[in-house]
Amino acid sequence: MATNPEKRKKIVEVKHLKQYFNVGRKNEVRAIDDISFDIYEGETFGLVGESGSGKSTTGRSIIRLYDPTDGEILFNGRDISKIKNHSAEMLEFRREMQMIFQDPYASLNPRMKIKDIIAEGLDIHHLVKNDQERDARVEELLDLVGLNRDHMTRYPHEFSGGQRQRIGIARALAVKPRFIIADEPISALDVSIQAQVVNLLEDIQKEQNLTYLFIAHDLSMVKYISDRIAVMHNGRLMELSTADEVYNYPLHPYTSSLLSAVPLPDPEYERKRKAQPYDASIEDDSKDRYLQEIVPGHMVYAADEEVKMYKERYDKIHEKKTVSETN
Amino acid sequence: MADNIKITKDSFKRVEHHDTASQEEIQAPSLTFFQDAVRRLKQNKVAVVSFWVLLVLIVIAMAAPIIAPHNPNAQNVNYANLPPKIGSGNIPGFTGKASVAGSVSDRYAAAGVPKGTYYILGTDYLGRDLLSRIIYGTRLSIFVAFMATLFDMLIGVPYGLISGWRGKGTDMVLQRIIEIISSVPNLIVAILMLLVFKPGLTSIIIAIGFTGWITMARLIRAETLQLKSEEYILAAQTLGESSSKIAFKHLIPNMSSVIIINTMMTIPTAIFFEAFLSYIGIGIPAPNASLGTLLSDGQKTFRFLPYQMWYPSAVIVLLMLAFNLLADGLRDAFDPKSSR
Repeated sequence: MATNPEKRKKIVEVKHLKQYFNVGRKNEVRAIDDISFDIYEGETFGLVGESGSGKSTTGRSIIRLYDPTDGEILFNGRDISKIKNHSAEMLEFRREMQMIFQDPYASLNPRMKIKDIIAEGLDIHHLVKNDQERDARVEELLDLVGLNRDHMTRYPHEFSGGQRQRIGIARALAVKPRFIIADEPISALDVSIQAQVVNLLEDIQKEQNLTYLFIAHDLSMVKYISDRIAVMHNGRLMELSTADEVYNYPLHPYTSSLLSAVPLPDPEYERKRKAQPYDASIEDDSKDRYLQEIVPGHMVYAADEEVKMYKERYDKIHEKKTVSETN
Repeated sequence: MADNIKITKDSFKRVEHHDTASQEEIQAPSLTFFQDAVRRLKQNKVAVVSFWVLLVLIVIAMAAPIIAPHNPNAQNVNYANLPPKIGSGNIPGFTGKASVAGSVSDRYAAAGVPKGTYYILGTDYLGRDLLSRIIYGTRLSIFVAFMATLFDMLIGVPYGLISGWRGKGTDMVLQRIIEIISSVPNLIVAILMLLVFKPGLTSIIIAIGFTGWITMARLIRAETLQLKSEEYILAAQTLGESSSKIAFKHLIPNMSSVIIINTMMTIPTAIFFEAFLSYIGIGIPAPNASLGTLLSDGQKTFRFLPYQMWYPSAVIVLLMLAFNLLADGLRDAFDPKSSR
């Protein structure tokens, strides 16, 4: 955040991405409906939204588990939908981008030893020459994620959720990726374990200069880990800005609604907290809406006429904050 | 009292501080999924007994040319319909005597069989040794079972995998083909085979190969569809694993229980199918022995010479029971959630 984002290198560019399922049939689902954003090298980009808002689909489209219906996804300036399956370029892409999955109980093959799970990527990409080297690398990765070396020969069912998630992280790190999509990596974990895993992710990021796309629905956790946050709703981006801006100056009513739902461990605050429901019907006035920059670096999904209103809202919140700070 | 007790620093002993490494150590022995299943299978007495019975039957069938006391197809009309006899005929039930026209007489002496020659389970209406014929018939049944397993593995499993994994159009076409095949009754296929091939083992095996793998293909397809969306399969895809490797490393190991259990269910069906065809006379042709032909031969003389039907039926019952009970045991061992 210290450096000007415009000068940093973009690692992922999503341009007008659309992802529809069952196109042309009765049960067509528009999971992602025209979204655009950039992720800069070395940052953590948080993606929040309620269940079914298309967060995970966005992640899976970027890593090409789905073929996009329309739009472009550039990774390192290359259009990933143009990479042919089974090509050397595809293998390279698969190595550079990795994913950490949501459910630690489902993301490890129950019939494989931890050693083989972690080394799967090493084998695919021929990153090790022999078995000793393979074992050494697996031990190194286990150390990195804070697991015992003698866990190598164990099976996934012998581990707890937090340990399994760390095995999943080790598997993703094995191929030395540059960009990791973390698809709700902590939402299936116990609260006491969540912090462990998030801190582990942060430490590894510093050590290896990784870029994260962090998908979650817990806004407070996303604020903690992310540099910039995008708020998603019904397959569209509602607001995009730095973590502090989104948290302190929520402009779009959906973002305020989402923030109003975050509980705090403060009884005084909780007594006064009122959840603000978001009424999506305000979007139904057939005005042409898209992400517009309200103040530098702060984008909101708005129609042209609404920009002025959002600007005023920003100034109002800003004024209120400075007043309360000076008091 | 209380004043007498002095608590000093020395009264306390520091508990050895364990490092996290030793805390996270897992003490239990590491069991693979297969070891775990075998452990559960061993607790099931019925399945264990079935397993040993099958093993004995299979060994006997494999070693038939060595074990069989006589040539199963050698006829000797003089020695026809001899009752069971062991050694010199001292064991009750195996005395070589039978009642003819109300009086018990030694049939071996009547037929002029030389001393020292005996037939443990007697002979049939052409003087062929029944025991040898049963052993060879079992051998045939086991062979049919083996072929049915082979078809299940080589056609059923890949067919289901491809259908489930590729999905969309491929799945549509493959499933319609299965539906067409399964709409033709097995028996009709077997009878049609007689028009093309000579009646015999080949036509039976082709008939089994034509339809026997369908259940397996359907089960594997359903299982593939379910496993396809598992996160570890997605993880393998994001790592760049090829489809064939995903099938061998992830899909098949996770369906091994389904494959094993279904194979054990297919086998009795195939054995029964062969026995049935042979029984109604469109299976194994004349001189060769099959449990089905033995039953149909024995049935003709059942009222006078019941042993000619009892022994082959006992063997087929044993074979079917053992396979079915072992299959049940395997299902419980591999898939403890289902059943019960």
